[in-house]
Amino acid sequence: MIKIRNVTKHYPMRGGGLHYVMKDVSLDIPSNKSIGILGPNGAGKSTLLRMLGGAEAPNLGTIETSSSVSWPLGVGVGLQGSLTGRQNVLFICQINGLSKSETRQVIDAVLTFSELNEYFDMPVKSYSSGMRARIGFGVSINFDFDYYLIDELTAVGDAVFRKKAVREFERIKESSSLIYVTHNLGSLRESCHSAIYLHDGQLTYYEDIDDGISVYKEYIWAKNGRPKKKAAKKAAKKMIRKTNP
Amino acid sequence: MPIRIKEQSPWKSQALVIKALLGRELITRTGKYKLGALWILLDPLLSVIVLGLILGPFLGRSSGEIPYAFFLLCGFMLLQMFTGQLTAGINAISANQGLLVFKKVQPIDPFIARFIFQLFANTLALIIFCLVAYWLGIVISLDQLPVVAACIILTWVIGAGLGLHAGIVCQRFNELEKVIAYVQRPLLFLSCVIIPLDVIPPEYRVYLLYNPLVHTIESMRMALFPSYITESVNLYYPAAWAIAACTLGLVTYRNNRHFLTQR
Repeated sequence: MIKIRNVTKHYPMRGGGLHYVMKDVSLDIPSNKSIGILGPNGAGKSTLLRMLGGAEAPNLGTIETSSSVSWPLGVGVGLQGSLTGRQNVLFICQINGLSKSETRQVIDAVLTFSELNEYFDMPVKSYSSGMRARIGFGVSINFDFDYYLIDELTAVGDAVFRKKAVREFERIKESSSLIYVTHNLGSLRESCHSAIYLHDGQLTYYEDIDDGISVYKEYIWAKNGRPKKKAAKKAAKKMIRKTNP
Repeated sequence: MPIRIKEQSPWKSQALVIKALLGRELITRTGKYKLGALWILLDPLLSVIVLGLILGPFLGRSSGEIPYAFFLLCGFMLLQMFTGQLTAGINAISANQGLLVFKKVQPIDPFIARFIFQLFANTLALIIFCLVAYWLGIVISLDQLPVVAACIILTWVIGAGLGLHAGIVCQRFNELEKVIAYVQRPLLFLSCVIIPLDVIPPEYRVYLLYNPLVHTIESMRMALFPSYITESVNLYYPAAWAIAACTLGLVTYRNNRHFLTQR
């Protein structure tokens, strides 16, 4: 369980004033759940993950847990561009106090998972975003966390990596929690059972992800207007007719 | 099988992080050059050779019994011990931003790692230079090694405290970086690196004595060469500076540590 208690988070704005990401939020995040985080751009989804992972502290309130939580796993997060892939993995092993044999085991496993081959000994700054995602995710799955925080990691990957990632998500879900941020609602529904909706500085927990998604969709429809299904179908038919006369 | 991370005491955990950061520092500092770690020696040596060639003809006899090149080298190494810390501190956060995402890596750790790196690199260079000087026939006294060590450590601590402070303030006000670069330049003349304190007229000497580096640099020369005497320098004054600088740095860190992890 991660206990979020009266958490307020704000950032200073250029020209003075504060931008509130969260206002006096309290929530328990249960363990052994896969939870999707929903919310528009800039709502604070990544900030929430950073706070849960301990990378950043809330301005007020506390986030307490006795469980082990991963660092927020995003594209290139936790990787130092001037170091090679291998050196980055080594760094993560060192700060976590792994023995030599464990370190060797992790490095071999990351190399196999990421399929980076000779790029593994090239500086990370020469990597594509997909390669960065592979290495970052590859390291984390070698550690046994109670909570895995994943921030849009699969969005940049190719089909091969996405398939591997989904397989790992399934394995993680057997014994740990998955907290997953993505704008791809399809893959969110596929991987998560519950949802947290982030809006106007508040968090709302939905036991069933479909409830969360429908609330989120209401928000999108309020902004964009409801998609007109019939009109869309007609347009699609027209397109088909045009391309295949 | 995934590996469960063992719980560690805060001290042990920080020691692991600093050790890993030191490794990272060594790789990126030396890895990009063909000559690698040799630059730790070449950097001060080349600076001293260039300075010595320009200043030697004019000031060469001012240093008394100490050969001017070695006189210059002593001062330059200690000055570098100080200015190197400032530069290291200013870039410590930005150069390690990617690694601050790990909960175990606290924002002060990159500073500590860089300062330790500076201490070891500069002390190593100084020892090697002393050995070479000894081999060349320059008589260096080892009777007062504790004083030499104190001079090095005090300069290092003053630099570390101010470097920590500067590195954090620079995150808020980028202009400070420029200001420090300008302020650093005259230090070469104001810290008795190129001329002994005794050569300077007494009416100006009083002002120079406010600079703690004058005290550590001249004290170190006195300790290494008993025949070289400069009055009115002591180690209590730089020690007071060291305590003040450390306090300033740590208080600044304490007040800004959450700001430093914000992105």
